[in-house]
Amino acid sequence: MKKLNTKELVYMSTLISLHILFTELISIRLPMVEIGFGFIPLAVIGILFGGLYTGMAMAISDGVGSMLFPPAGGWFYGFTISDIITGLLYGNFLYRIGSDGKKQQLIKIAMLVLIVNLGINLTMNTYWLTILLSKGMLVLLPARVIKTIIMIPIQYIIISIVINKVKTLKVN
Amino acid sequence: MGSEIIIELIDDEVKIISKREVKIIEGNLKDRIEEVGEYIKGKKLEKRGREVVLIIESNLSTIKIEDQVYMNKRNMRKNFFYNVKKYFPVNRNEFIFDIKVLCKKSKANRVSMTYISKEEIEGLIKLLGEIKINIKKIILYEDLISETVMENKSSFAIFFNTKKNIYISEYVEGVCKYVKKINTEDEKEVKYKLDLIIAEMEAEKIYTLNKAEKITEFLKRKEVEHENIDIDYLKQIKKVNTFNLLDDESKKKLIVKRRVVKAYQILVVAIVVVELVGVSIKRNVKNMEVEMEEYYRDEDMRKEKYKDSTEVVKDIEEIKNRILKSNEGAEKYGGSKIYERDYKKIINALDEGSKVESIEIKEGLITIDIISETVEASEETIRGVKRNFREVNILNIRETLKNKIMLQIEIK
Repeated sequence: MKKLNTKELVYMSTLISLHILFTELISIRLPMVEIGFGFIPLAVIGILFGGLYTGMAMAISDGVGSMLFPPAGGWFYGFTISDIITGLLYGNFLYRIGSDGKKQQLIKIAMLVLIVNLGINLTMNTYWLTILLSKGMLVLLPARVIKTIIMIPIQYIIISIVINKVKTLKVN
Repeated sequence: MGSEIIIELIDDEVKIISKREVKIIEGNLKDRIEEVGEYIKGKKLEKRGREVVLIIESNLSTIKIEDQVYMNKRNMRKNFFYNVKKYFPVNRNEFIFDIKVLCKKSKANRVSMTYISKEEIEGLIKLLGEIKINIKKIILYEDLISETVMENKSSFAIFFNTKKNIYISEYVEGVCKYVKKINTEDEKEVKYKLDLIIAEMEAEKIYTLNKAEKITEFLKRKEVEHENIDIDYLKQIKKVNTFNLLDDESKKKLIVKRRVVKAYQILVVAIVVVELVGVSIKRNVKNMEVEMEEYYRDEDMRKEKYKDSTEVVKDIEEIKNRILKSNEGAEKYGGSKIYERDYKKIINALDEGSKVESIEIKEGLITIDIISETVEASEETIRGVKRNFREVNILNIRETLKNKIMLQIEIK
């Protein structure tokens, strides 16, 4: 694992701060779902630093975020695990995506958005909620399915735009 | 590069070179691709050598040499791929392209550009993709050899022969002037062509490769000075300034596929972690439920005990009696002294709703300060009792404590 230099550390910490802010403060509340934008800085971290660092960044972000903005019901490490895995996936698919062709970029983003939303948000996080709330999965699923259906195209479009803006950015 | 595998495609012969052995598969690569796959799989080379270097003869490729404005390698490659049609007017989907710097001149780079037909090596790329081996580099055979010689001479010629052909390449001032291939079937024709080539040659020195007997014999006869060299591919490859050919479209498809495989692996690990964490959480929750049940049951018992306010009064009376069993109280009531910390212990115990009888105390002395503390503590005691046992008549407790304190003051 490559060591980060000072400049990279500054980028990373700024992006972690942005992730906390985007997750906790900047969100659109609709009657059925809350749309957060934490995935934008997360995508940038993934593009610049790769899977392992993005996973670590997510763990730090979750820890610091829950200290600054304590979640209702307290901190639960299940969601931290979900965040770390999400980070790994973002890094895996987006790292140095700028050097890929347009078609490959779009395929990678599509794969990422689908896997994260269906595998992590819909399945894993719902499982954590069943443990936390002592409710059956089928009770929680309908609302979460709607959220996932809304989030998939939004994330796909926004990440595609972000990649176009960020792909030429170089930390070194 | 991890363990190295080199696949050499020269003259209808596929040579697979690993650290342990060299396997020669005769015949065209396209026809022998399955055999190549079986050998790599059989020798488990796909596990040890995750990357492969492909050596091809230059007639599978086309080379152009050109001087370009000086720029860094990254920009040079970008520029090349952007303008590739200008250099090679061929279909991009059918060929793979690359560029490398031959030498630096003042404010310019002399570069070598090449393209290789995908059709020729497509089967191999597909096969290596399936067994998860990356093609790290594609090297032109003449380049590999010339790099070995280039260190000593800038103008030289290289002769080497295979079963069917003789290859001759000439380098002038470090740049490849030509690569020629002579079919060895007709000996007269070979001699004629070799004579012609040697007559026109500008090279200072001629090298023959790996004891190329036919050529050596010929050169000796012609009294041409030459030197035979042996090349260790595995060592030499690291030194060669190669074409990377990494921007090949099929390789990109492979990269996407690998990302998906990696994501799948991450998810599998995630599922295992979630399962383990989930089981552990459920176990903890169950333990906590048991503890909570016991706690509430215990609290219910205490509630039951203090349901009747006389029980509380009784307990407080007990404290009072113990306190009175102090210095002066001892004289008046025939009791004994207690220490300050024991007194606090009793008050705290009452606050927490514990049984006073269970508190162990030592003999000691009560002072006026302790009594004043008692006034504050008594308020806390009331709150404590109130918090824990709501059914108790608070007035009774207050009254009892008040009496207790007044009594202590009187004692003092």
